Amino acid sequence: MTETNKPTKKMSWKLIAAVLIVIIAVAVGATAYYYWSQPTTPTNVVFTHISTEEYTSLDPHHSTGAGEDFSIMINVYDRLFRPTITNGVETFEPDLVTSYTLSDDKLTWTMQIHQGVKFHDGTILTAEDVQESFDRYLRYGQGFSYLYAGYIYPGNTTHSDDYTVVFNFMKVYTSFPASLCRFAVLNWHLLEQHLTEGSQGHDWLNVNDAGSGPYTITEIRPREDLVLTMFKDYWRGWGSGRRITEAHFKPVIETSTMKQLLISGTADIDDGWMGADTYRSLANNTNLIIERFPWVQERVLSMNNQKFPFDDVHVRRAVSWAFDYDGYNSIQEWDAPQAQGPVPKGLYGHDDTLFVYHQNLTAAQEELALSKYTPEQLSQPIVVQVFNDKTQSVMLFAGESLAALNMTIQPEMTTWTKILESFGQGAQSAPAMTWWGNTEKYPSPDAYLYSVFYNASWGTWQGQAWYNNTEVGNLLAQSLQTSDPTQLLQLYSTIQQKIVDDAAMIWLSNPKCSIVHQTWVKGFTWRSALGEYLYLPNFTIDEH
Amino acid sequence: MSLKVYVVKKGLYVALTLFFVIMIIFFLVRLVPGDIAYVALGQDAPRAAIEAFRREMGLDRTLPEQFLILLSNLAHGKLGISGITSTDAMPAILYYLPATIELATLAMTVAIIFGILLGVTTGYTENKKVDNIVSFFAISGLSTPVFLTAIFLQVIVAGLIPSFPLIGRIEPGFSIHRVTGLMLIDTLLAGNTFAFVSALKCLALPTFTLALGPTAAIMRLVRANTIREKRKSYITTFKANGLPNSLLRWRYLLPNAISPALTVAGLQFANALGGSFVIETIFGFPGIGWIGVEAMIDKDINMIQGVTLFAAIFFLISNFVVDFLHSYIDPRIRLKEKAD
Repeated sequence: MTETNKPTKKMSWKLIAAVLIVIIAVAVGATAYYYWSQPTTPTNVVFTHISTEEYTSLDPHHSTGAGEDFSIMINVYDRLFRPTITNGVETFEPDLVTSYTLSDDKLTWTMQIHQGVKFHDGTILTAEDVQESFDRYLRYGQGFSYLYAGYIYPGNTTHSDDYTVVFNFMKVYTSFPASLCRFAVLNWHLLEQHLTEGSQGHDWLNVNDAGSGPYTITEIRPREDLVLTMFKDYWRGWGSGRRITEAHFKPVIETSTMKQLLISGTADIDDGWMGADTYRSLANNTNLIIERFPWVQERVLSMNNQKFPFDDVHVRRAVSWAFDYDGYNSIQEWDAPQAQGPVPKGLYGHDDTLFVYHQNLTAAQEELALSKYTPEQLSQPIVVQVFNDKTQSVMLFAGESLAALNMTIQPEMTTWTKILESFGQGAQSAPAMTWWGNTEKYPSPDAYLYSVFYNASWGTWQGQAWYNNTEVGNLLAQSLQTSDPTQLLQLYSTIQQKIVDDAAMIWLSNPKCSIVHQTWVKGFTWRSALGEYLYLPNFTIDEH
Repeated sequence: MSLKVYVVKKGLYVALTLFFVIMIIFFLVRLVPGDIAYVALGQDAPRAAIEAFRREMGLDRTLPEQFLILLSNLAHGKLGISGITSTDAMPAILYYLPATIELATLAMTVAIIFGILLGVTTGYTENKKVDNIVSFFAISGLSTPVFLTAIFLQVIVAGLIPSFPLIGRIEPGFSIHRVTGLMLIDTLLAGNTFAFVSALKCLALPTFTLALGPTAAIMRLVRANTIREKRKSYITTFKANGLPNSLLRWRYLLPNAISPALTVAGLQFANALGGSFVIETIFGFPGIGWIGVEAMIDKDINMIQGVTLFAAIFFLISNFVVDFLHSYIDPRIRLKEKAD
C-alpha cells in the first residue's frame, strides 16, 4: 500500500457506495410509486373472516361440524333444506326443495326441486344429481350419514323426473327434512369423472368445487387462506347493495393476533370462539360491534347414572339442588341464562313448562337423606377427569357447591381423547362427572334427546350420562316414528319431564354466542346451527 | 486424517445420531395419552371407522412393529398417513417447508448483516456511548421471549399502520401460481411487482422477530472478537502506519472477527428452520412450525414425527457443514481428532 493509491481506493469505495444507494433509492421509489398509484378495483368487495380453526375438509359430505367446514359448505353448495328461525324458534325451511310430501306409510319422501339451478360449471342441477349425491353420501359413510344407518341404503333413492326425487326408507324417520340441512347436493356428472380419486372422489372434492351455491372456491392455500368468489349466476339472485364479491377464510391460532386483526380493521368478522375476556376487552372499540345471541347450545354437568354415587337418583337430585346456577352462569358463562331441561331454549321441542332446579341447600339435604349411601360413603372424594383450564375451573366451582353436602370433587387432569376412549370401555371406566356442551348441528331435538338419553348412545361421547329408563327409551323410539307435530311436541314434553324427574344430568346454561364484526359489515343474521351465521349473501359491506 | 476420511467419519456419526433421534421421537410421541383416532375422525365417528383408522395407521400393531413400519416408510420417502391432512405427512411437510425456508433465510440474512455490522462497530467503539446503547438493545433482544416481541410488534404496527398485514404470506387480492413455494420468488416469476411488495410486507414482522435473537447473538460474538483482535499487534502496527480507521475496521479486522460468528450463524439458521413454531403461529405464517403446532394439538403422530425429524435433520446437516468448514479452514482440528 502506498500513499499514492490510498485516496484512489477511498474514492472508489465511496463511488461504489454512492452508486448502490442511488440504485436502491430509485428501485424503492419506483416500486412505491408503481404500488401506490395503482387504482383499486371499486367493484371488488373483499371480506375477511378469521377463525381459531381451519376447515378440516372441503368435501361437503365429510364433516360433522369441525372447524369452518359448515360455514364454507353452506356458501359453496346448495342443500335441500336449511335452518331458519320461525317465531323465535330454530327450525328448518326448504332450500332447493319447492315442495315435499310424505307417504301414508311414512316411508317415502317425495321432493320437488327448483328448476333452472346452475352448478358453478354452468350445467343444470337435476333430481339425478340429488339422488346420486345422496347415494354417494351413504356410500362414503362420513359426516352425518350415520343418521340414516338402518333407515335407507344406497340405491333406495330414485327420481321420477328431472325435478322430482324420491327417498324410499326402510323404517320411519320423521326428522329426515331437518337432517337434510347438512346434506349438500353435488354436481354428479362432474364428480363422476373423479370418483376414483380417494374414497368416493373424496381427494378430488377436497381441493375442487362441485357446488351450485352462491360462492365458488377460487383459491386454496392450506393453513393460510381459502378464497371464495361470488357466483354471478346464483339461482336466488343477488339483490342490491354492496355484496361480498371475494371472501377470505383465514385461520389464526393466536387470540392476540385475532384481536389485533379486528382492531386494525384487517379482519371483518370472527368465528365466535375467542374467550369472554377478549370480547369484553373489544366492547369499547367504536369500530367494532359485538353481537350476542342466545345459542342453541346446552352446557351440562353429566352425572354417570351407572356409577357411584350418581347411580342413586336422590344423590343426583341433591346435587342438582346444591349447585350454584346463578354464580356459574354469571362467572363461567358471561351472564348466560340457566338451561331448562334437555332441549335448549330456541329449538323446536323445547318445553318452557319444565321444572328447573335452583340452589336450595335445605332441599338438597332432605334429598340426600333419602339416599341409599351413608354420609361416610358420600364423603369419599369423587374423582372427575378434566382436560383443560375451563373444565378444571368448572369442576372446582362444582366442588364448592358440593362441599355444602360434605361431598368432595377431586379433579384429575387428562385429555379429551382419553375420556373419549374411556366411554368405549363401559360405564364403570367412564368418568363419574363431566362438563360438556352440545351445539346444534341440525334443527331437531333428536340431537339432545335420542342421541343423549336413548341407551343405544352408551359408549358415545353424547351418552355421557349413561342414562337408562325403559319407559323413556320406548318413548324416544316412538318419537322417531311420529310425524304429527302436535303429537310429537307432546311426546318430547313427556320425555323431558321424565328425564328431568330422574335428574339425569345438571342442565347448566344456554350460553350466548359472541361474534364481533366491523361496523361496516351489515346484514348480520343470527343462526344458531353451526356455521349458519356466515351465510355470505346475507351481508352487505359499507364503503370504508 | 485426510479430509475425505474425516468427512466419511462425520457422516457416519450423523447417520447414527439420526437413527437414535428417530427412535427417541417414536417413543416420546407414543407416550402422550389419548387416542389419535378420535382426534383425527372426531367424536361423532362410528366405532367401525375408529377401528379402521387404527388399522390403517398401524396402531393395532405392537410398538416394535410400528417402529419397523416407520423405518420402512422412511426408506421409501414416506412418513405415514397424517390425521390432519388425510394424506402422507411427507408431501404436506414439503408443501409447507418453502415458507419456513423463506422466512428463516431472510431472517438469517438480516441477522448476519446487522449482527456483523453492529458487532464490529460496537467492538471498535468499546465502552463508548454507541457500544453501550447497542449492547443494551442486544441484551434486550436476547432476553425477550419471541412471543412477547411478536405481540408487541403486532400491537404497535396495527396501531401505527392499520393496513399493514399482520398475518399470512400475501395480502388478499393476489393470486400467485405456486412454482417454488417461495412467495418472493413466485411473485417475481409471475412478474407481479405489487404481489412481491405485498409478500415482502407480510414477511417484515415475522422476519424482524425471528432475526432479533440471532442478530443479538452474532453481534455479541463479533463484538468480543473485534475487541480481542483490535488489541493484537498487527492492528497496532497498521494504526502506527496511519491506516485509516474505516479501512482497518472493515478490511483487516472484520475477516478475523467474523469467522467464529459464522459457526453460530449456521446453528442459528438450523434453529430458525426447525424452531420458528411460535413466530409462525402468531403471524399466521404457514410453515412447518405452524403445521407442527397443529399436529401437536391434534396429536397427529406421523406429522409430529415428520416435523421433529426435519428439525433434527436441519441441525445435523448444519453441524456437519460447520464441522466440515472448520476442518477445511483449520487442519489442526482434523489432526487433533486423529490424536484423540
